[in-house]
This record gives sequence, C-alpha cells and structure tokens, in this order.
Amino acid sequence: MLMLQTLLSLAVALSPEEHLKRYDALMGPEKFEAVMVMVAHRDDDTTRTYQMKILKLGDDKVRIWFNAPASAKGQEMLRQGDNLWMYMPNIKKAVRLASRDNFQGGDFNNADVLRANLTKDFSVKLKDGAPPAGQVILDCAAKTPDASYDRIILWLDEKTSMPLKGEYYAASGKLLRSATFSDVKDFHGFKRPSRISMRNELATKRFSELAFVDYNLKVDPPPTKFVLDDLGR
Amino acid sequence: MRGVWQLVRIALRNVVRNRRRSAITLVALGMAVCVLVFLRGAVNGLQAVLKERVIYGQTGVVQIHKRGFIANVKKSPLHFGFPAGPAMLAKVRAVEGVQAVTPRVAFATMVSVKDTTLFALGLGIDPVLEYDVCPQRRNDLSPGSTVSGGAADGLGVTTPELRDQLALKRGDELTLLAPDFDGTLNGGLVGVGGFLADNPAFSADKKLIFVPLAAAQALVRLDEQATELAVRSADPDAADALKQRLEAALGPGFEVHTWRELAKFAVDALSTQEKALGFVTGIFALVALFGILNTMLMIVLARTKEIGTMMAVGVRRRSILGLVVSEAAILGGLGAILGGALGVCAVLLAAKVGLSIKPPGATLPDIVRPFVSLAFVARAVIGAMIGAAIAAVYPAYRASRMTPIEALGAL
Repeated sequence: MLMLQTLLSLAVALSPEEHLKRYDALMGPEKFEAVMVMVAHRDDDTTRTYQMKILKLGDDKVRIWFNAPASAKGQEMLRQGDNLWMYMPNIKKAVRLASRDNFQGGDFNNADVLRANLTKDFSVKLKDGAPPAGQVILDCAAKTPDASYDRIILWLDEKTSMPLKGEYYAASGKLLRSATFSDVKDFHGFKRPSRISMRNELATKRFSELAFVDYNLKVDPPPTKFVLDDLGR
Repeated sequence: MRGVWQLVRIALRNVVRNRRRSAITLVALGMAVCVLVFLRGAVNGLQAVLKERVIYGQTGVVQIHKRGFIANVKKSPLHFGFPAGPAMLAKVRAVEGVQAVTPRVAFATMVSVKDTTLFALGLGIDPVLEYDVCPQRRNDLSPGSTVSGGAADGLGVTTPELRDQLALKRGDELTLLAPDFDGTLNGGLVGVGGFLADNPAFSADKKLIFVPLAAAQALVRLDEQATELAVRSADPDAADALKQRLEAALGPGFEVHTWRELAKFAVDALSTQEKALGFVTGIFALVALFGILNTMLMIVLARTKEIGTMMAVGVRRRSILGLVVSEAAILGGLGAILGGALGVCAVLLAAKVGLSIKPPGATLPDIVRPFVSLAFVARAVIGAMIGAAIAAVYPAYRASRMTPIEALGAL
C-alpha cells in the first residue's frame, strides 16, 4: 500500500516535460508497424474511407502505404527528417509536401500522422488554471517552423499520460482542429488509444476518425525502407 | 414672341459689344466643357478596356454552373462538376444569342518542380474553344506561349510569379498534385508551354496555372465534365436577357450568372470611375458658374447708367432681368459649343493615337481609345446654357431692382 502511494505521488509529481515524453512514447514509439483506417466525414454527410499501413523507425523516419480506396491504392508517403514526400503511382513521381497540408483531404494534417512526436518540436508547460480531477493539461508552444501547429493544448490522464483530448491552434490564436482520443486497446501488450477523432473547427461539419486496427512494436524495419528510391517498389 | 426675339437680339449685341470680357468668359467656359468632354471620353475608353478584359479575357458574357456553385463558395468547385460533353455544348449553342461556349475545370493544386512545391489555382481550358469565348486570353500570353495537348502530352502556362518562384523555363515538366472531386490526392504531369504576360492588371490570383482541359479532367477525375461553361454572345449589354434564355433552356439544375455578377471587382471599378467623374464634373461646373456669376455682376455694374436709362424710358424690370439672363445663357451656350467641339476633336485625336494608361497593379500599360457620344456633348452644351442662365439670376435680379434715379445718379 505504501509502495502504491509512493508510486502515485511520483506520478503526480511528473513535470510537464516528462508527461510529454510519455505521451510521445505512447503515440509515436521508436519503431512500430500499424494498420490504420481513416474515415473522412464531409460537409455533405458523405464519408470516404482510407486504409493504410504505417511503418516507423527512430525519431524521424515514417512510411505509409495506402491500400484503399482504389483511387489512392499504390500511393505512398515518406517522412525523412523534416521532409515529407507523397509518391503518386500513376506518374511514378514523389512530390514534396508540407507538414501542415491536409492528410489525404481529411481533417488531420500530415504532421498529425507522420510527425507525432511533440517533444522535439514543442516547448511545454502546464496550462494555467486547475485541471479536471485526474487530468493534467499541457500547453505546448511550437519551437520550430516545421511543427505541426503553433500551439497545442493536450488533456492527459494524470497517471498514465494517455491523451484524452487536444486542441490545435494557429499562430493567430485561432482554433483549427480539436481531437478526442478514445478506445484504449491492448495491442500485443502495448496499450494506447485506438481511435482519434479530429474535428475541423473551420468547417465544423467536417471531421475525420483514425482507427488503429493493428499496432505492433515487435518489428525491425530496415533503414532502406525510408529512402526516396524505395518509393513505389 | 417678338419681345423675346428682341431681347435675344439685344443680348447678342451686348455680348459682341464687350468683346474682351465676352472672349475671356467664353474661353473659360469652353475650356471647362472641353475638359469635361475629354474626361468623359477617356473614362469611356478606360471602361471599355476594363469590360473587354473581363468579358473577353476571363468570364465570358455569362457563365453556367451547377446550381449552388456561387452560394457555396467555401466548397471545392469540384463538388459542382457536371457533364459537359458535345451534347451539353450543343444544347447551350442552340440558345438564341449564343455565339460560342467553352467548358472549364477550376481546381486547387500543388505544383511541384524538383524539391519545391507551391499551392496554386488551376484552370483547365479547352485549347480551341476557350479562345472563341475569350479571345483576349491570347493577348495575356507571352509571345510563343501555348496551352495545348491532352491529358498525356499537355502543355500549360503559369503566371510570372509561379514561374519566378519555381524557377521555371519553357519545356520543364511540372508535377501537379490535387485532390480529386472526392478529396483523394491524384498526380499529373504537365509540360511548361510558356507563361502569362507580365500584366496582371485584373487578375488577383498571382499563382495561377492554365492547363489543357483533358489534363485537368484527368487530374481531378472528372472525365468529360466541367465546373463551368463560359458563353459568348454578340451583345454583352444584353447579358441579362441571355441569362434568362439559358436558365429556361437548361432547367433548375443549373444557374447562370452574367459577367457583372461574376466580376464584382470590375463593376466596383466602373462605379468608382463614374463617381470620380461626377465629382470632377461638379467641381468644374461650380467654378464655371461662379465665373459666369462674376462676369454678369461686373457687366451689371458697368452698365448701371445704361440700365437706369432703359428704365427711365419705360423698359420693364422683367425685361431687364430677361436681358441679363439671356446674355448669360448666350455666353454659356457659345462657350459650351466651342468647348464641346474642341473636346470632341481632342477625343478623336486621342482615339487615333491611343492613350497609354497603366491601371493600378499592372506592370504594362493598356492602350485606351477614348470615345464620347454626341448625346453627352449635347447634354453638356444644354447644361452649360441652363447653368449660365441660373448663375445670372442674381446679377439680373440686382439689375432689375435698381431705380432709374439711383442708377443714373450712380455715375
């Protein structure tokens, strides 16, 4: 009991930086392979479903293969450091993209999916005011122009640093997107939210849901998978 | 009637009698009317250039869209694609007054060369039909530039800004990345067939790329479809009637907009020019009328004895008033006719030579050819006569209120 209390007090005493590191470890571990489904909900109440596989290695190497819909099949994305590329199979060319461009016309931006580690791009402090019980609110300010947003406010579980919701702001202070993280699942012994719902606050009828079908940390991706020449192969 | 004619004869004699004063007044009034006529002509010429650029360089006389297109400006134009094959074009051509029609696809795209990617607005145009509706587009191209080819071998043109930022040269290959009508990204290749001329006078879109219609349709996956049809007719001023005929022919699924509804900036520019001309006209009229007022006051003062004598021999006050007013109206009329004639000559000369005027934001001047209607000149002359007569009412009233003894004793 005493040991449990000690552990709890340690958790409570975590600094904002430590919370953010734990968030990064949950949302963008060092290496993993995952299968994701994104459903984009449009203004006209129609939806579009994208299926993809994502592979990550280290801090800054990510690759995505799109499998559906048919119009996106064969498309690939690659993150190499600060550079993002989109490979189009019909023209056999890769086009450089910006972190803040929309991810496949949905309501996530590219960095939300391919640049999920916030510690490198943001300085963090606790948000002023009292958080709801059992939660901690992080106020993250961009420290590099390549950061996905200018400011992010994250609501985390105080004990696990598991994200609950997020708000994503432009430099002007305008709220661009808001996210909710839900359905914590155990993927081969690794627990994390399996569903992220991102609402476009500029076009409030639009939102996109990203669901993780599988998430596997026990992979050893070769670095050769993260070079431009490998796109399309 | 005889009395009026006699009054006019005396007034005419008075105008001729004091030649120097009359000449100065005539020149002043004539200059004012001349400048006004010329300004009207120049503004007419400028407005004609603006309308031509908009109608024959961008919008066409009217445009056809799928219903909801204009009201939903925040939506991608690709949501409003509609079949625009030969059958649809034939249906539009069959409407009375339609001379030509061309399909277009408007889209947002990323344009990429090597490691640089920029956002741009794209417009897919039919390499043949487009110039039937908007022949001015040819003038917007720099020499040797062309939009040609199809989906696989298309050549497009970009604005100078896009050219400079991407360091483009003719023959380069551009990679276009655009969301299709459903939001899924698609890629396309287009060769650089040249550039728009460095004259963005009426184009607010600095990053713009024109590609062949087939290339745009393939890129955004809208086969045989368009987001708009641009239509040309013989008389742009009858655009409203054409709009009604087209709406009746196409049914409720479509909406038709005239160039005035589409190019609000041009309509605002025309309205601003009219207001500015109205203000300048007002100032000129005021200065000229004060000149007439002053001249007539001086005339009344100089002829005090003469007026006293006229009254002493029984000329009525009403006749004195009429005499002064008539004299001013004759001066005003003569000056305006002289000025109007000079103004028309200046307009004709400027039209022959062409005025080089650089609109705000443009890097190259437009050649403006002024023109003026005879109705405007006639209105200016009649207006000057009436204005001069009104300006002379006060001096005439003062003259008519003199008593013969006071008038004769004033000297």
